[in-house]
Amino acid sequence: MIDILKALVRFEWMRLSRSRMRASAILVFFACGLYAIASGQHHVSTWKETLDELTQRETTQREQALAWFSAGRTGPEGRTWIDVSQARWADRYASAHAVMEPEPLAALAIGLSDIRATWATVSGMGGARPFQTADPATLGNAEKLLAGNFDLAFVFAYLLPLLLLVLLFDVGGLERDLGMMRMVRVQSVSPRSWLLLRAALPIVLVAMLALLLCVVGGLWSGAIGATFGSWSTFTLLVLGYTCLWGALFAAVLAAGTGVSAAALWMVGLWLGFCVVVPAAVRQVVGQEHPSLYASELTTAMRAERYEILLGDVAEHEPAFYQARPNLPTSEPSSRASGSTRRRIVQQAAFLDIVGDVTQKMSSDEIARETAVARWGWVNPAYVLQRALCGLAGTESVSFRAHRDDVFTSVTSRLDALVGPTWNEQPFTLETFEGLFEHGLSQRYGLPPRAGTWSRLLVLLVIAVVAFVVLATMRGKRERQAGVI
Amino acid sequence: MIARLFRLELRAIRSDGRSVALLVIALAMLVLSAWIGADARRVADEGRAQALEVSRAQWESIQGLSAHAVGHYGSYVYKPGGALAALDGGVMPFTGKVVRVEAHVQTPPSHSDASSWSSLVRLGAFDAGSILAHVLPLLLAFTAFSSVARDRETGLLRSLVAQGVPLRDVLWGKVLAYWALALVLVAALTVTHVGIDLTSGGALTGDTIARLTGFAGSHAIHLLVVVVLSVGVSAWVADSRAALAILTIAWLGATVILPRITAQLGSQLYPLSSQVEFEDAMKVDRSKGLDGHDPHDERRLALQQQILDEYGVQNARELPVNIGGLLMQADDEYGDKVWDHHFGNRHATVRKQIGVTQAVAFLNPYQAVRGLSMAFAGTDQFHDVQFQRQAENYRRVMVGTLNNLDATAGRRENGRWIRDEIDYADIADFQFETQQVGFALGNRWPELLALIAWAVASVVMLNKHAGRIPVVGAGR
Repeated sequence: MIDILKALVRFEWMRLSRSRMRASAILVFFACGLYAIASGQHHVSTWKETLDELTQRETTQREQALAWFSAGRTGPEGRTWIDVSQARWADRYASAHAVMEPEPLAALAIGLSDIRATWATVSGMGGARPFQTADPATLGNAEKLLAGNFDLAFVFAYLLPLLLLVLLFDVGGLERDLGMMRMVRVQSVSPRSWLLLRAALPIVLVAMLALLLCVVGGLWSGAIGATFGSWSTFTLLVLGYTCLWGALFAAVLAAGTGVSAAALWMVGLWLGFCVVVPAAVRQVVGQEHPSLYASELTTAMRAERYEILLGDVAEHEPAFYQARPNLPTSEPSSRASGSTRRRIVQQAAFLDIVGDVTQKMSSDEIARETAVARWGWVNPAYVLQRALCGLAGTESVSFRAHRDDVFTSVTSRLDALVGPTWNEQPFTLETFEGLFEHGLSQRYGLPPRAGTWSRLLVLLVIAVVAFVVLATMRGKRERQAGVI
Repeated sequence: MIARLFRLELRAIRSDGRSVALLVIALAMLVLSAWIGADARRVADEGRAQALEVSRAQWESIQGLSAHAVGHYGSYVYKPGGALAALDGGVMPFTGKVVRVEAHVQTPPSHSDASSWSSLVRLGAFDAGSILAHVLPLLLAFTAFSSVARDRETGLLRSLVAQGVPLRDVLWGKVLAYWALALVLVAALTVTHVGIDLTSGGALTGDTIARLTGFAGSHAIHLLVVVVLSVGVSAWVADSRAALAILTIAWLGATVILPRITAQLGSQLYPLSSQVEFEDAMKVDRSKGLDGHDPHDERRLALQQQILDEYGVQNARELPVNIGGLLMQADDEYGDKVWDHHFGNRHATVRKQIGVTQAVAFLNPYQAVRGLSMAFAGTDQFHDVQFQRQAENYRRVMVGTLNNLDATAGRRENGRWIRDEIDYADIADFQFETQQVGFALGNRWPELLALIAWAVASVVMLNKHAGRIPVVGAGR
């Protein structure tokens, strides 16, 4: 057996080194992988630059106010209405942002980070501003987004099965075409073991290439050093996915249909699992759970401008005081103080609506994703991509968590403004600096969901069973036909 | 002779179960995509109508607000679907479809479909445009890769040559047979789309027919190129397995790798400033103008004096108009210039990025047909920019009307400005003016040129080298 294995390795190596087509496919795959890592790294550095710009923006605004405090003033000379000791202006000048920091693995799985907003302004009295961050796509080149990412997750989910296809499509068929099957039969291995060994070698080769790319990507992005656990899971998922496709293609080869038919079946499987099923699932689920014109959110934004801002504040006061029972109920000492209190009550009422709308949006998204997950058994490319992007903190679940955090930060900021306003204590340097804490910088990488492994595993088991059944059937057929 | 060979090839395809199965699958996918696309369009149209109704009802219920406050209250504009969005969604899922229009603030569109989806959106769309441009070429390549090799292996090719049949005719017979099948698929899709459209109450306008013709025509030309190249590779490469591998790698490079690399190259050659930088730059420029809300603003004071001089009065309380409305209008007009400058630059940069893709279309016919398909469907970036421009123009007209009402709808009594009651329902909702097919062609002529060049070049190549293909297999 060992001798056969050695002979097969030599045979495969010879075929590989003599086939320019195969060697080029491997080189192209590896080059694509390297380019994908470089491209992902570029994306993450742009992302980090944006975060630096936000920090710069915060610093500039905060330093202005800190300079006034140091000079014993509460605003700039000549603009007397600006008073950072008051809640409204303190909120504005204690500039803060809730930002999504890229996980190191984000360079390997960009996910939705170029589609969804990765930051928002934190302001207690900024009305709808924290929730109005524009779609990055609208400000950029949407055709680039349509063309798609070129990250390592894409290379693994989409191109890796194709490399396997190119390396495997004539395994078995070649022996049949050259009339070698009888010779194989007289060796000490069964045709099934022969096929398995021959198919296993290219699969191992592709798995090693994938591993190498994961190591290069992990070192380049710093993921191995910073988040080794996530990187290991990332790599294991990729290796599992390689085995899955290897098993699927081995099952096709086991049917023994000849080179052309095997190639057609393999391309059919790849086209089905990587192109047609994901697109069809998106379309079908999109019909069931359409993302329409965000009427709930636009209505909430309008409510902020109209019903709440210009309506009767007394309507919102009971809920406001009920949520904050310890607030003093004394009348404001000045008109300005009364106006600030009213604004805060209105803003709290607005945030209540936004909270409800955000929850509704999240539950709609979750319902849609649950519907997509139902197709996970036949959608391995998406299951892998989702798991990789989840680890990299660039999947929808991460953005939902970020959106919740934005809401929490804004609510905390508002609550921090309530105390000094109701107690009529002007903001001092200390309390002003305390507002900086509402800025948030977080990573959102998550381990794969429970169903990820089971879905890939079930498909793998089906492929293995198919391999055994088809190989047995083929053996029987060939014995009857006297081929072997 | 070509006609006879054409019929012979069709019979060969019909007798090959795998080819028939592939074509049936392709047909089913196209018909299904047309049906699903039409249904998606219906759902989106209903959603838009509903959103419009809600928004309009909110607008018409405004009471007791000054025209200026109404300007801040604002309105919403909803993007309609493209002319043939059911056939090719283009960039629509990635671009915002709701624009808030209000005084002093220019908001870019938001709430794109992609912003509420998981990363599934990155794995392509199941629309006819994608299937025709992306999937069908692979199916055709897999059907045609052995077309000449098969005849070579069975000795038919040698027999034909021995009988004096020109090799060029043999190849053209095959090309026309496969292309005819592709045309049947395109025609079936077109008929299905028109049928669904007409039965659901749609109207076939001249523009729709022209767009549909352009859409089907561009895909037909692209498929001709694919068929010529597939048959050509099958003819020139003696080993059918190598032919298959070459076609697969070419397909992968053309439809998957090159478009992504080109898009990234474009954005690296012509980088866009970040959103933060963009917003901050706009804010800085905006602050250089007149501030309608700041009573101490120097530019505002200068304009106020100018208005007082024009009316020959000493102070604003003597004016027959509300000066606030005039100042706000001046403030907005300045803001418009800032928007034009910054968004104009941004759109120009994006245009350059798309220019890179258009240039690469001369190397890759897939990119040519992708651009044309979206453009004819009215769902490409250029159509989207038109929506943004029209939404902004509507904002300017709406805010201008409100500022004018704020300035003039009232009377002066004892120095105080008394506002009239205004019925805001008189201000019309946004009406999107659809672009004609000429707009699509005007922006996408490089792709059209590239596709025609590819078709001509591949046909010329096939004719020129047809006589030199190997007639017998290995060991010839």
